Amino acid sequence: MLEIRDLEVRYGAVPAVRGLTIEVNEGEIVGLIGPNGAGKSTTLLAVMGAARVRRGEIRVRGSSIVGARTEDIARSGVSLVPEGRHIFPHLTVDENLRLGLVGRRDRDGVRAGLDWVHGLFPVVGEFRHRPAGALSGGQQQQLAIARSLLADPELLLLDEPSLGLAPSIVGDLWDTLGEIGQRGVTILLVEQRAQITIELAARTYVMHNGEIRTSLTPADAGDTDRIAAAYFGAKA
Amino acid sequence: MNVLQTLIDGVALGAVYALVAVGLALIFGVMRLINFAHGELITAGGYTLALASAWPKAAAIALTVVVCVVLAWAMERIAFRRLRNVAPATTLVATFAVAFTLQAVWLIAFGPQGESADVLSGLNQTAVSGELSIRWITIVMLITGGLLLAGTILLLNRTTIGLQMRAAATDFRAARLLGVRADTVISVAFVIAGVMAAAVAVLLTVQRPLVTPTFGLQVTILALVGVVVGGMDRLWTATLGGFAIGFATSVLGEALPSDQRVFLPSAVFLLVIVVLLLRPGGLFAPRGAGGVERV
Repeated sequence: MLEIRDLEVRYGAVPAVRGLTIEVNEGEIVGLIGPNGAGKSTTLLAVMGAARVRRGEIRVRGSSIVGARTEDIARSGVSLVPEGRHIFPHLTVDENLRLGLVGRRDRDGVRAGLDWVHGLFPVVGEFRHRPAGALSGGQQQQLAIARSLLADPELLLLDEPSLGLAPSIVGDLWDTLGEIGQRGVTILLVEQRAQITIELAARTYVMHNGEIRTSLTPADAGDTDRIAAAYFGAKA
Repeated sequence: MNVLQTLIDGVALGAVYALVAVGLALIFGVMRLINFAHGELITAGGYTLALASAWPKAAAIALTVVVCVVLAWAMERIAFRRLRNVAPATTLVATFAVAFTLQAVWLIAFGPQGESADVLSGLNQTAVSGELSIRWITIVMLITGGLLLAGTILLLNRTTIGLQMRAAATDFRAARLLGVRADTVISVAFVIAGVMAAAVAVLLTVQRPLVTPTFGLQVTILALVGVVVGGMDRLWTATLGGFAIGFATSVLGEALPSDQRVFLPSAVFLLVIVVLLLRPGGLFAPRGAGGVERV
């Protein structure tokens, strides 16, 4: 579904992503973890055409999307839930959801899509007429994911969805991500919470200083020493 | 002085300035661009009316709308689109450049003396006489202003493109990540600004039929001041600010003795300074407002 080969992204002279190569197969949940500044968010922004690719290739379903406009990528079945949610606080919950439909390629399944996200996240139906800014952090995160799902993405990119959420809410959110994955949506999950990401994902890449250092599987979830070593920069 | 008469005249002029403010605030909302060249759209509308003054009135007005919309669209497409990602100071300078270039074009094409746009002068006739004296143009200003403002509100609140514009005005990058097309949203904002400028040109030429190269400049500067006074961060506060500056200009103009009306701009700007000292965030901006919806 997603192939990134030898990706390089720079902010001015500063390299943010260096020679990154990862692959996400159709229907997989793949994790990308690493400390702050590792280049995880930049990688997602590069996929969305929001960070300029200096070198390398990004392919979705075999087609290169390097140089494509952000809005065209968003309309091609790739959806990003950005770090910090970026909901529109002064628009209602319903209006935020309607914006998710902008990127949808097929208008036929809108009703079914709405039913699905209302089932996954009852709060977005319950508070549909409230300003989105009045929701709690966890509710806003649910809204941001629901909004992206309404675009009916083949590939869902999530940037630190657990950020700022209480552990119990994170547990519920992870269950929901599992449900979304079972529905056939391919997920690339960027996170700082290493252990729960490794447990959920079929494969988790560990990124440090712009590079992939190693990859881990759910079998490694209990090996905290290996996770910590990888997280802080040890090469496999 | 008849207070009711003064209020009616003030509201009518306020409606015209509110239309200018909408044009400025929409573009600021989606692009963070203070379009100093907005006045040239009004001037272009004035000259179009002058050139088409022999035409049937409806045709002359329709042509004015077309010219203003096409010029607004062209401004964005040719001058501002490439500068979308540069520093705000650069784009501000670009709007100055566009404004002064177009003023030079008007000067070369039409000369400094001005052209007469005597298309709707019949609207200067009195519609209501007696204790109150209301001209047709006052009524037309109120109706036109009300209809266009209501139309803008409906467009923003009841249509998909309006929702996309409101989202883009709050967080442009997040909107694009959802598939909102930047080019479309910005072009629509410029087209609406063009329609507003055409309406202002038509209304202003009834009262001031002589169109000179700086015809639209003064009203734009005053409306821009009104937008800042009202609060640039939201469309409705900016529009109210535009309305307020038009209203204040009209009322102060009536209040000042005729031999002292030369001081009218000074009086208006003195009022602006006082307002900004008391409410630096904007006269109509909610107290303690944080992140805001700009459209």
